[in-house]
Amino acid sequence: MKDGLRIALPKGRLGKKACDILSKIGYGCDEMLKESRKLVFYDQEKGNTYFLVKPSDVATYVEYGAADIGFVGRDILLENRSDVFELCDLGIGKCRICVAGERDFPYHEKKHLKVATIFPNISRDFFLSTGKTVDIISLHGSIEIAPLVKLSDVIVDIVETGATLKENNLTVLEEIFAISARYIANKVSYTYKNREICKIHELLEKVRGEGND
Amino acid sequence: MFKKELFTHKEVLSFELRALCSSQGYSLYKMNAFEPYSFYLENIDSLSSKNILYFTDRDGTLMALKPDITLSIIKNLDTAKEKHKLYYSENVYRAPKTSGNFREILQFGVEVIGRLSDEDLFNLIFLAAKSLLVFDDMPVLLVSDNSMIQKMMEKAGLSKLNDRILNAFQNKSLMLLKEVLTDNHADQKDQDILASLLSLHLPLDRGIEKLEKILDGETFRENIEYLKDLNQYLKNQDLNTQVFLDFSIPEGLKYYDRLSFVGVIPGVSSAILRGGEYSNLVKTKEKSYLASGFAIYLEKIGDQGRL
Repeated sequence: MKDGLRIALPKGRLGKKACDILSKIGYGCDEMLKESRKLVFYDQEKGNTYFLVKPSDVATYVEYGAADIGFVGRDILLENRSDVFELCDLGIGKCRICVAGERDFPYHEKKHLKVATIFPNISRDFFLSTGKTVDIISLHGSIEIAPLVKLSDVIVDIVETGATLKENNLTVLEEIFAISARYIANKVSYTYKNREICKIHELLEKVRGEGND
Repeated sequence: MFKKELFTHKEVLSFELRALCSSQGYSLYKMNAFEPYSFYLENIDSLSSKNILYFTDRDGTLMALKPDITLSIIKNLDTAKEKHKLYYSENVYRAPKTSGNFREILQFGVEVIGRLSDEDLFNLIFLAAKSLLVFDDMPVLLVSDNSMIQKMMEKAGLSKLNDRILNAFQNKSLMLLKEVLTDNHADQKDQDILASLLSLHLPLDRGIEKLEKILDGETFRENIEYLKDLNQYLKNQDLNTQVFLDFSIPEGLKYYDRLSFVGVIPGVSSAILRGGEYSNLVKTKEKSYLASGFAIYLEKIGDQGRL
């Protein structure tokens, strides 16, 4: 087995887009395109190993050196405070992290808020910077329900088109920041596999913006 | 008689490091396990972990189990001596990010403090590079000049933004760097220079050549000459460790005021050695001491199942 790169990819929509980009730059793995429940793939030709992992775990695999490089949303990096190199913006998976709530909720007048979110760290940091005090309620999904059943005043969540919010009678009250997928590397791998990691970086920069989203 | 098999691997490594330090004229430093809790509170900004394990002593004094060694060494320094070349092998008590709970961590470290020549400071970096060879035959020492980044930020009018810029450098994030610099209307030329510094990852001699090309000679002359002298010193020592210039490592820009460095070895996912020059921490009204030191995290190597 060649000592190639170990690449962590997120399962799901973002993972598919990342695979397409990797194929475009000559780092694809044909076996991954087949429908299967396999999570680890090996590319004989280049000697690279690919892992399919939960999107929120990609940065962890890279930080702890189980993977040399990975593709991950900026939201995950900021939430986990991952200690990895964030080498390039892939220009895919573009959306926003926003504060959302019911249309008539007096958000700007409130000094204290109950916030439901899957991003407790991002939320805490953001509201600290605005001077509001908050109670953070950590949830794992279907966040939009929280204000409707009075579990929270507002939510902090990813907004892509805003359609889900609209269907649940919610609206964006404030945008926190824009996010997109990033190419990341383990800090030690960056030294020992520098040539290959930088080569992929260069190729990614070239294809970025060529209608990847 | 010394029988290697009677000791754990970590203890053997610690002995090898002691022998190395001793051969370079450093002497073993022993200290108490406790310090007054108030001492660490006064110096909280200099601690990497803000969590401190404390207890009430029998006389009512709040005491702490050492979370850090360097601060204790500085506090208890014999000021009658002009130069201190010390090494230690001590337990510290910290709550690592991975566990959340407090743990006893064996730390090996080296410090040089006092009226120092450049050669004293270079010798410590040489010792750091040489120490890595105890663990692996392909180590790399990554060196950064934090004062250079600081100067560059001041030149670009960004001194108040240390934390965000620091974060961009630590993560080699050109995106974050650009975001901060654009928000603050930094000059395009300064933006380009900071971006070049952030991306730099070259063997020390080639890195210095690159710096000479991208930086204004006058402002950074002292920094570049210092790096050149370091490079020459290391070359003269016939060192087998690769030394790279890489500005992604200015952890604690406020703590390490000139050079800082980290040591990595293959198969361990994060740095096993960290250090740098921290002269600002030991400067007093009476004495303009210089200081530099590094720590090796033996526990970390064991944790990763590398050894």
